[in-house]
Parts: sequence; structure tokens; C-alpha cells
Amino acid sequence: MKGLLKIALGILTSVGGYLEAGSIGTALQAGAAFRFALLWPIAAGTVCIAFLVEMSGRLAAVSRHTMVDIMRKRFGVSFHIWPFVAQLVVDLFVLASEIGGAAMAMQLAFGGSIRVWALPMAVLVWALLWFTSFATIENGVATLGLVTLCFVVATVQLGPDPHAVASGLVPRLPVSNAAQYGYLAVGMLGATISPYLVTFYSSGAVEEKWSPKDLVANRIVAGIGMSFGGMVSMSVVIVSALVLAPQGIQPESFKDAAGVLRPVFGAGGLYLFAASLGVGCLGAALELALDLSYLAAQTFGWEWGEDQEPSHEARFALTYTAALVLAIVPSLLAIDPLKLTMAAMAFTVIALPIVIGPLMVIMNDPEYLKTHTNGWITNIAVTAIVVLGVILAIVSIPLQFAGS
Amino acid sequence: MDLIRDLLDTRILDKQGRRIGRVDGVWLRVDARRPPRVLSAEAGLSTVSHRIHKSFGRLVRAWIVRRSGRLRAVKFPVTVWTKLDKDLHVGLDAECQGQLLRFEKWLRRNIVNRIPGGGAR
Repeated sequence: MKGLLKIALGILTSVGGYLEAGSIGTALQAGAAFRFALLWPIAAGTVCIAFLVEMSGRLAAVSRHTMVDIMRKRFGVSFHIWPFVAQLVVDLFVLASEIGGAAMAMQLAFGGSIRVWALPMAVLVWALLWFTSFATIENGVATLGLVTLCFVVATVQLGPDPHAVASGLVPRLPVSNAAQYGYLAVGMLGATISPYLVTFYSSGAVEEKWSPKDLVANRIVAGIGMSFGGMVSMSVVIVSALVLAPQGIQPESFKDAAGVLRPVFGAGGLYLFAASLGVGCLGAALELALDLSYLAAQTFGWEWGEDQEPSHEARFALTYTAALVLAIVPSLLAIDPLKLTMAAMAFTVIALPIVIGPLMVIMNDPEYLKTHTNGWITNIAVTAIVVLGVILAIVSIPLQFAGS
Repeated sequence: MDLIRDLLDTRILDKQGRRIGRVDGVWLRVDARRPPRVLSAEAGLSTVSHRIHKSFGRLVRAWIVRRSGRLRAVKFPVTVWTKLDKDLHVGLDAECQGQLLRFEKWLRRNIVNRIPGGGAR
């Protein structure tokens, strides 16, 4: 019974915490510009992130060490510094876009500007980290995140053509706007395969003292939770394709897409959109700020853990505090959250091999995994999707910037 | 013992199980007539920065010396080691040892404890 509860809670957390600025922003743009044609990056990304999350949970359960801990030990600091710096930069970039997204949600709901709302949002994230425990953050935000299921309800209500939706799951070359198509595909892959999810999950597993007994639950949560999360993300593309595309709306900012739920939910649609964006961004910002602290603490061997008082781990607590201070700068400069998000997602994909490559080596090392090393399917699937993402990024990002 | 595989970059835990750093460097006694002997493990920003890159290490060392007058890397002699498995366990209590966790204790005293909620949850 306890095991089932743990699995249910894990799936709830995965679903409720899946959508954030990156996934909402890229999905809205993709649906509006290419209707269902860009559902496949979400499907591919979801397969990849499900494998990666399962791997990092398995590593933590078997070795009782986090991925970052082992990476420094296995490769030494002179190598580990590169994935560390790459992920630090990616996490900071994405954290800035999440704070911007949360501020934009408040602007949509209550007026004002993102400049005004960025500071209160960052203070709220900081206060939740400073005063509450890991379980409160993980379960509380994920439960609130279930508001994002309004996109699934909207999809059912709008009744898309199932054949058209299914055809979007197969990658095809676009008829026009190849650069934008590729750039959006890269953004969607980056939003789905976020490296912070992998390191955060691994740290959470160690915080919750997982053991090899938890391997089955880990596999179920990673597989089912991420699949459901991917479906929620796809429903944003579908709703955008059915509502924004026919009106010729190409969202340049979150504000342009704010009416996407109006045909289903009426005037309340705006508030549901704002709530989905706000809660999704807030949840992701909490995880990212914590992840930055985890990264630094595990790299340098500091004490860490969200369940401890800040005075027991001053460096850990002050790292997320400093990260949040840096992350509000783009919003204070009024940089549009959606543009920042797209750039952050593209950068994420470029950094993926540096972060994921060493993990793949560790996952095939029996010294850490004993009899639980990766199978060939996992190795091939993750490598293929990451390589695809990087090739797409190398080809489409310069084309997109040259075009614009 | 394979020094690089088994010791370097290993986490250091005090006798309360508290994480107090990583083995950033190893001190050896090299004698032409005997095999090298490990004297101590060393942890500190100056040591780790030197391993990342020599020029970076020089910059960091110069900055530390200018700020505090001397390098402050901490040595853990083999006499205080109690166990070496995936972690290096030392028989010291970091909270009671003045030379350990200096920066952590400074941050705690001067910043964290002055913020509401910093000391108790």
C-alpha cells in the first residue's frame, strides 16, 4: 500500500510539474505555426527524459550517491568542471526564463508589468525554499500544477482529428519555413529534455534515501509519469493548433497566446492560462534554484539537503539565494520571457551532450551500478535522441538567426 | 590503493557523517629507496583551482593570499583517517575544529543567522 502511494505521488509530481515556461512557450508557438506537425519532438523528448530520469533514479538507489557526486569522483575535477559549468549556465538561463514566465502570468492576471512582478515572484520562490521542506515543495507545487490539465480538458472539448494528431508524431520535412521548424523542434527538445530534471531527480532520490528496493517504483514513475506529462505538453500544441492557428495568431510573447483557452472556458480561460503558466513556472523555478545549489554543493563536497535548516548548510542556502538574485535581472531589464525561453531551450540542447555524455559512461560502469547497468535499448535511444537534437540545433539555430 | 581512482575527488565525511569537502589534492612522501607514502589528503579552493588549470590556480591563490594573508587549504593527515570506502571518513568533528568549515561558519554567523528562519524551521 505504501509502495502504491509512493508511485501515485511520483506520477502526480511528474504530471503536475511537467509544464513550465519552456514547454508551454515552445508548444504554443509550434501549434500556431505548424499545427500538429511538431508533436514528434515532444514524443522523442519524453522518451529520452523518461530514460534519463529512470537512469538517474537507478544510479541514486543503487550507489546511494547523486549523479553529480559520482561524476566528479569518476572523471576528476579537471573534466567535471565542464559539465558543471555548462549546467550551471543552462540552469541560470532557464531559471531566469521561469521567473519571467511567472511574472508574465501575474501580469496577465492582475495587470502591471513583468518588471513589477519579477521581484515578488523571486522572493516567493526564495521564501518557499528557505522556510519549507523538500516534500512540501515537491508535492505542494505538483498538486497545484494539476491546473495545467485544463489544456487536456480543452483538447477533449475541441475534439481534434485523431489522424491529423497521429501524423504529427512522425517526423517530416516541412513544406516551408524549414529554419523556424527546426528551431522550434530544437526548443521543444530542450524544453522536454531539461538536464536539471535529471540532476534534481537524482538529488531528490538521495534526499529520500532510496535503495534498490525502490527500483521498480522508479521505473514506473519515470515511464508513466513522464508519458502523462508529455501528453499534457502535447495538448498545449493541439489546443494552440486548433485555436491560434485558424486565427493566424503567431505568438511572439505569452501575452499573444493568453486567449488560447477562451473558446473552451470563456472569460475564465485567461485566468486558467495565467494559473497554468504561473504555477508551472513557479514549480520549475523552485526546482532550478534548488538544482543550482545541489550542483555546487555536490561538486565541492558541501553539506546539502532541502530538509535541513539553512544555518546547517549556509553555502547551500546562499547559492540558491544568489541564483535567484541573478535570475531576476533579465525580467528587470524587461526582456520578453518567451524570447528568453526560446534562447534558453536552444542553449540547453547544445549543452546536452556535455551533461548527458558522462552520465551514459557512468550508467555502464558496474563499479557504481553493480548488476543494474544500462541495457542496449536505453543506450541507443538516449544517444540517438541527444545526437538528433544537437544536429538539429547546429543546423537550424544559425539559419533561424540569419533569417530573422 | 590507486590514488587517483580511490582517493582523489572522494567526499570527506567527519565523524558525525557531515560532508566537509572533497579530496582536492594528496600529499606524498617520495623516497628513492621506498615506495611513495601518502601523508595527507588536502581540501581547499586553492588546491582544486590549481587542478582545474594552472593559470586559474595561480589567480585564485594570489586572490586568497591578498585577501587573507596565506593559503588556507586544510590537510587531513592519514592519522585522522578512520575509513576509506566510497567516501573518506575522518575522526574529526567539523563543528568543533576551528580550521574546518571556516567559510561555512563565517556565512552562518554573519549572514544566514541574521535572516529570519535561517536558524530554525
